[in-house]
Amino acid sequence: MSYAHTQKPAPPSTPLKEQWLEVGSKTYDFLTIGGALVLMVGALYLGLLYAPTERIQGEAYRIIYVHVPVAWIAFLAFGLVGVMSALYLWKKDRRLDIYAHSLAEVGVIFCTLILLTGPIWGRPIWGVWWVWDMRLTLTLLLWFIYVGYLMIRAQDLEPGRKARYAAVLGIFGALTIPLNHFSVQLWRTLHPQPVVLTERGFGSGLTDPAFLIALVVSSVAFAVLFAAVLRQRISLEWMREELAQLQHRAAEGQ
Amino acid sequence: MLATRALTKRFGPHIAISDLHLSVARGSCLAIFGPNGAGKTTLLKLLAFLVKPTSGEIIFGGKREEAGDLRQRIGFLSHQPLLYRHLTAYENLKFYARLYGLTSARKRAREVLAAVGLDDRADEPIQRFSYGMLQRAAVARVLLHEPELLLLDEPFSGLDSQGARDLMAILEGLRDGDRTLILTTHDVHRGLALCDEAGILIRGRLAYRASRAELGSEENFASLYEAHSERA
Amino acid sequence: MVELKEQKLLRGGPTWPRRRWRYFAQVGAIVWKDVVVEYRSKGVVITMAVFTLLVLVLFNFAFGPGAGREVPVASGILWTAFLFAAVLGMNHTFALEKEGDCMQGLLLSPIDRSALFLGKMVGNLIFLLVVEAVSLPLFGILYNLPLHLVVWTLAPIVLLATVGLGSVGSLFASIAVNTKAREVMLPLLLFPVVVPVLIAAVRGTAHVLAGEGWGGDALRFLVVYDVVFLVASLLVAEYVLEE
Repeated sequence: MSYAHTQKPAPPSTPLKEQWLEVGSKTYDFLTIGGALVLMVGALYLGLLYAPTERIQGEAYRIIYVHVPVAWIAFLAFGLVGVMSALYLWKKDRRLDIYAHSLAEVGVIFCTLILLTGPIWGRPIWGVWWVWDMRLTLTLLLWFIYVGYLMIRAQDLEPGRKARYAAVLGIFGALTIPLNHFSVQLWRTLHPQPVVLTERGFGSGLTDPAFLIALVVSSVAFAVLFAAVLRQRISLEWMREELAQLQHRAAEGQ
Repeated sequence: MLATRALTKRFGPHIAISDLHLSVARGSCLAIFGPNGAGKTTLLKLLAFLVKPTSGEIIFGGKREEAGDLRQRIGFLSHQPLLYRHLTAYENLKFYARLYGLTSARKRAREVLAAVGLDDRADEPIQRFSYGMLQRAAVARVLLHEPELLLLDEPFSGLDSQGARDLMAILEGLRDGDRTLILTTHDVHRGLALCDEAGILIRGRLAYRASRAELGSEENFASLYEAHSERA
Repeated sequence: MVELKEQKLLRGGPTWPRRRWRYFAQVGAIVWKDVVVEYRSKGVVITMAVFTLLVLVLFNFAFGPGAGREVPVASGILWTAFLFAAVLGMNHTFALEKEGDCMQGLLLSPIDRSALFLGKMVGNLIFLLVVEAVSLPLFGILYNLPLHLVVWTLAPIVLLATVGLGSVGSLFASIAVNTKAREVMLPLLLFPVVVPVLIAAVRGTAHVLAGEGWGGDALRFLVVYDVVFLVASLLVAEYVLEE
């Protein structure tokens, strides 16, 4: 028996913060947080004052300038959780895992906003806070799916294992989105039909272009807000990881 | 026959195996000593392709192959017998023989049970077995598919002296031929009796290694091992 | 004193020549093992069946004696009972592998991880289908439904919905079993994802029990769901079934 055994010094702990997050991070923060603030004010003006009152629903309809952008972004976030999860299982890159985790958390917050703004609109229009309509129910279920995802994240498991489990749940969550949609089409819904993206083309369901302008601006505002929050969440996760490594090394040193 | 290059395994911030370079020749036996938490079990699990390394690689038989094919050539004796308590010893082994794709699963299950001296108890559910018998049944499971590489994780722990003697006799019988053995143990006496090279694993690193001839007397090695463990 | 008969150890049987045969032989071995262990230990199938029956009776108490007369309500009760029983059963078969670390033994063998998953899943499906086969006639009797519909025309819906439940359920059970609160974790993870199955199964069952045919749209929906989630489960099995 022979050994080709060498003992190199331990590899230095991997640099945790990636370059792009370090360089220009101030600029990114400034642009996203500042941009979100400015755009939010603009969206408020457009949504509350500029856009005309709707013929049938009256003033109550104006909540769509929050409800619809928030819903788009929540679905985008959950879809991206699925993409990041699949990529993580393929590439095993720690960054992808952190992105998926952060996206899921921010997505749950936006999904909570959908579920809060929906009933506020439903109360004056439908006369009840909640109906067991398929689309509402399935959004609520989506919320449960990603809360479950975050619960697995909160479990005390070996980090690599936890990342794999979460990735699998992220993929399955994303797979249920089209199936939910499919079942909504199969079994009727009370929810208003799409007006922005319809079979007849972009914006054709809206009678006044002012509706569309207000909706586009508020969507951009929420998208920028999403980018700002997501970035803060990701760097928080890096900091946590760095802290865990430092604590571990301090404990080892004793 | 087996080599690792810069093998590293991390569990979060904890480094279980750190940059390990190791090579083991065909037909030899390596005993790895180390205190609890040194990474002995993790090392064997890595070599058994049970866990994936964080970085580095394991080269088996000089070639890089699919882990699935390599598992066919490795036997791993764990802390637990890894047998189902509701099944008989024979049923357990027949089940494993099928998992390993052996065509004459029944015959082979009887053969290995006879080899470890359990043929008269083969048709009893293993929940009635003593710890020593369970350990022998586990050895039979490990030998089913005639692995070229045997990984034994603390084979003597928990056995009474009779059980340990029986196991020792079986393991000594496995020493000849081409079979390569790697075992981890605290038991300096039995470990040294089996191995032709010994290593000491401290905090995921191989702190010491020497051939059996270089090691000198058992007392000598025991004090060396103690010194290494204390420094950790 | 044990003496090792070396010559015997050196005559190992040849291994299966064909990979495909071996794959299914391995799946079969796992199913056989789970069924034999279940038969010996009387672990879960009887418990599941009694539990299903109990839920059927409980709902009758909760809704009053007239509850079963409305077909959609009866089919909702049926599938809620099956869903609860399925969670019980799937938790159990993975807890069995956790006991004595037997999963480690399976992972050490040269079995494809998808074959391992498939074996566990088929075992779960067998247990679920046995429970369903026993409780469906009883459901028909208790809720005064035409028996030929309940035991025959309903079969495709039951089979397809069970495959959907069993594939996602087995995958999530293999995750949940490694967490601390595994009994609670499985339903929390599983229910939101299988609600489309539940909806389709309930609608399809109501359709069948109303005497309108085999289940219509629900059947097609269940086929799509089963294919999507079965393929996805087999693809990700290797990441879940890893030490």
